[in-house]
Amino acid sequence: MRNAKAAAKELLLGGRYPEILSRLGEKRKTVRVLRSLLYEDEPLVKWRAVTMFGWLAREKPKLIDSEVDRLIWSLNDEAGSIGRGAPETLGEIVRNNARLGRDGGKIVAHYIEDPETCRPPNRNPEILIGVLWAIGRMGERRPDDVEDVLAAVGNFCDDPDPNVRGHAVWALGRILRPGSGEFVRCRTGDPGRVLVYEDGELRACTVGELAREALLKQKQTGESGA
Amino acid sequence: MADHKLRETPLLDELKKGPWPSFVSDMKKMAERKPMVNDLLGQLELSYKEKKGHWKHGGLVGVMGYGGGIIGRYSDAAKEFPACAHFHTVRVNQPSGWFYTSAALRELCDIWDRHGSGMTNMHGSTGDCVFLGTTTDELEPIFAELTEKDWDLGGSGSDVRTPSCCNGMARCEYACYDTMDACYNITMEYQDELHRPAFPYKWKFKFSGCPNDCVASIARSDLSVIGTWRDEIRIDQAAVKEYADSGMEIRANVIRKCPTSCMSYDGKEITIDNKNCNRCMHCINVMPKALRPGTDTGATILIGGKAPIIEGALLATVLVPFIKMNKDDDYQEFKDLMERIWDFWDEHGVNRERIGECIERVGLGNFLEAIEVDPLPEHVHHPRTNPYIFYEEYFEEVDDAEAQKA
Amino acid sequence: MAEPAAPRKTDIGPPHYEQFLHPVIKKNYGKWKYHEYMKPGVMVHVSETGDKIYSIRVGSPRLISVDVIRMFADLADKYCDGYLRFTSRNNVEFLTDKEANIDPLIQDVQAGGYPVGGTDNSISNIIHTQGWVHCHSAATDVSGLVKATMDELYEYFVEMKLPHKVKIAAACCLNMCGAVHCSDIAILGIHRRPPQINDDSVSNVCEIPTTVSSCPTAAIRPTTVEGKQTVKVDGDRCMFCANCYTVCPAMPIADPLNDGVSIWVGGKVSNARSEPKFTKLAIPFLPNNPPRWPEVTDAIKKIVDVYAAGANRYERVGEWIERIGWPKFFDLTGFEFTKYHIDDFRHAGETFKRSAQIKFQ
Repeated sequence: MRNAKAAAKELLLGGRYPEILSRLGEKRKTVRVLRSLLYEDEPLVKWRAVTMFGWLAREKPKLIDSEVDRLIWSLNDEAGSIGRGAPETLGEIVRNNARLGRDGGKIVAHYIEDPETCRPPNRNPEILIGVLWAIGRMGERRPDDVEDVLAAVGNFCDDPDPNVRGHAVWALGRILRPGSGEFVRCRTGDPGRVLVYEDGELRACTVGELAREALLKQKQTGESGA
Repeated sequence: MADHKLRETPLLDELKKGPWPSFVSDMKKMAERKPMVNDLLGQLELSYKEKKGHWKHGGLVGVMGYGGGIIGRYSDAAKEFPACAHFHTVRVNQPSGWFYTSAALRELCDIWDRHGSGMTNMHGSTGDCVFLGTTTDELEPIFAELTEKDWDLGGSGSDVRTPSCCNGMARCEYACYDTMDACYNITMEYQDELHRPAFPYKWKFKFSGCPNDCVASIARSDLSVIGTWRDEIRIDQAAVKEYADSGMEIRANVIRKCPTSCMSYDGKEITIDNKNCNRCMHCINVMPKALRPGTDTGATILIGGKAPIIEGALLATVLVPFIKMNKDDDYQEFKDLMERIWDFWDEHGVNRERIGECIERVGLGNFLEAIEVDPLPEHVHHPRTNPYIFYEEYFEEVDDAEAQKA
Repeated sequence: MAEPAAPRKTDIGPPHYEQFLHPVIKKNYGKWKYHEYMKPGVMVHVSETGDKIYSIRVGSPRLISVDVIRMFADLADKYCDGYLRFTSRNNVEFLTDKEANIDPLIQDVQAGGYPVGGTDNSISNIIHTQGWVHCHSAATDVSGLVKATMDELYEYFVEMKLPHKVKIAAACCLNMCGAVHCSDIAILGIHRRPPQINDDSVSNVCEIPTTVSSCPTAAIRPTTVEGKQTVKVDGDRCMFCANCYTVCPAMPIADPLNDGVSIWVGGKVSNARSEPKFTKLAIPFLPNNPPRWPEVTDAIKKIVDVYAAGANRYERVGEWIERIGWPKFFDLTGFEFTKYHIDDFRHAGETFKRSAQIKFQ
């Protein structure tokens, strides 16, 4: 397990996703290794593991056919699972394979309204950011699926935590829906720093940058989204 | 004393009475300096009044880098009892055999007094030292202080749960292998699996030094390691005589209680037909001065014990009748077996299915084949009684003419 | 997402046990020859080297404060050079090589309100779970149940006068975090009504196929209520296990009017004489009657009394009942035998009597 984990980590950092299966074997034990990497302290490893689950959902769905159950359970488990990485991974699976994702997308999206997870004062910022990111990724493909939580996402655009604000803005930027623009527009001058995972890389920027990009994207894609 | 108003708890106060030590009296004292315990008592009083619990389902909290070890808990009556609105539990991996020094206990108490309710379970059902009740923002400081003093969190969720063991060779003459070393070794080996849930469901290891099974491993663990021996029970006939002289009724209490009738006593000496002994421990339990397990010792490994949820309770079933739990090679044989079992579980286990249920679904025979363990009569009470056999091999008809041509 | 300030220590595991072992234990590790019960709660283990270690066993409610633990630590310092341990049944064991320290330690322990006992043919501490004190799925409170029960059985903890040891466990729901399924006597919190279904939130918080398949009796079906996807429960098939609530928080099952306690007997984990066995149902329902659950403590006292009067030496509760037969057990205890006692879950037929060997009372 330790060797497999080290190998997978290296391949993830190198962005060599298909090689993970050829090197570690096209078997569920490899999936276990990837699950374990979702807890990794090194953010890029964790995020790339999330991407890898998306890749598997697209390319090898059979290998992870029970993953959605597992991930939802890890968010629901009353016996102390923390669900670390679960929202992001669910989002990425749903984005890449809606059939495999089943109700997972809807459930993740609704975590945004869960008082113990995403609402102050109890909220868990790590899970909240994962949920926001998942909403952005899923909504980019299928905006209808996340329609009824967009207002809730919008409310996080003036959160005191810049990382939360940034991810809310980033998520709305992916989802071209009427109304989203309002929340984003208020943040164009926001200097708060945010670290967001985008296109397979971690990107350090300001909330303002994300807001301006989101508005530009909406403009380019057509006024329908504004 | 307290600068908060102490809760009135007339129902709970009834539990201050009686000779057994009262958790209510203890908590009431803590409530004087811990508002969280004061409100916990208030909420518990409400539960006693309404006959209903007031904790919400789940809660996603933890420490960085780990997927388990903390159980999130929130009150559904937080308005009324704000000080216990958050009431998370911290599982601290106990030392093997639950041995402590006073200094170690004070270290744990001081950390917990600074950062939590001060209430504990010594210990939780799986074996951890459990800190009961704290808030989210205290979790990282608790973890930092624990690890600073060389303590770590235990398991929770779908991971290797904190292994536990009996006191074994430390204080028991029955121990057939070093349970405390094995438990420590396995706990260290699987730290990653313990802290980062990546299995279909929980996985419990328990190590008992003899078939008395003081940690209930056969009932409560997915992988139960029970000490046993292959050679002969050691007999000290002089001590047998001492027991007889002291009035023990050896025939009634030992010989006739032997489940295999493999013992006899002629009024002077005990003889044992060791080939027929099934290592039940009864005679040794009754006459520990006179009878001892043999010296060719090791363990029986059993798999799949669990409580009822979901498909019904299971006692663990025999997997390996005898294994040398060998410290010198770092329990390699045991660990190799674990790798094969977990590979199987990865492939065949479904979410929230314990290994015992998985084996029942797939079939013990198929499971054994997959993990490369030969089927043995020791694996069953008796062979199957039904003829519904999934034969996997048969002869193909051979076409004589075709065969001749070839 | 915040970066840790200092390098983080993780995956260090528990401290190594060796540092917590009494010097006599360390010296005689693996060399113990035999043990004896000197009196209730006091054991001596004798080594091949001739060394002795004395263990003094003390009952504890398990749910204890740091102040109580510190009191134990002080006593360990005073009499045991600081060495102590906890048992698998949540007793405290003080460890000393000085025989002269035993009685003064016992006096101090008892003065502090804690009982010494729980060894050999006694009723040791009750294994139990969290109950209303900390668990979200509890059908009862086990801390209170255990306290009330141990008050009633106190004499059996501090004396060793039973035919054999009696191990009791209590669990607050069918998850059975305590070893209820294999104890001599067990107390189990139960539900008796199907879960309520919050149709508005099921589809938002629960994966419907998972919820459907969580039911061991296939009582849950997907359905639509006012345009919302949800589930329905066939009440006739529900046996109130609460597994659906575990996977789907929108299906709470707790019901103050109907939750209660069931009583089980005759399980064991030890291999001594007979094989390990499950507990069997003695009483299907007793009311939740806090703070002292008199119906429950009466029933347990009754079982212990008839066992104490009727069992042979070295017979555990399950072995005694198997010898006298279940009809006799119900006769002696006066517990009513009902249709609930007859299994109708998986492999139920294995529990039916299939012979003409019947004892007539």
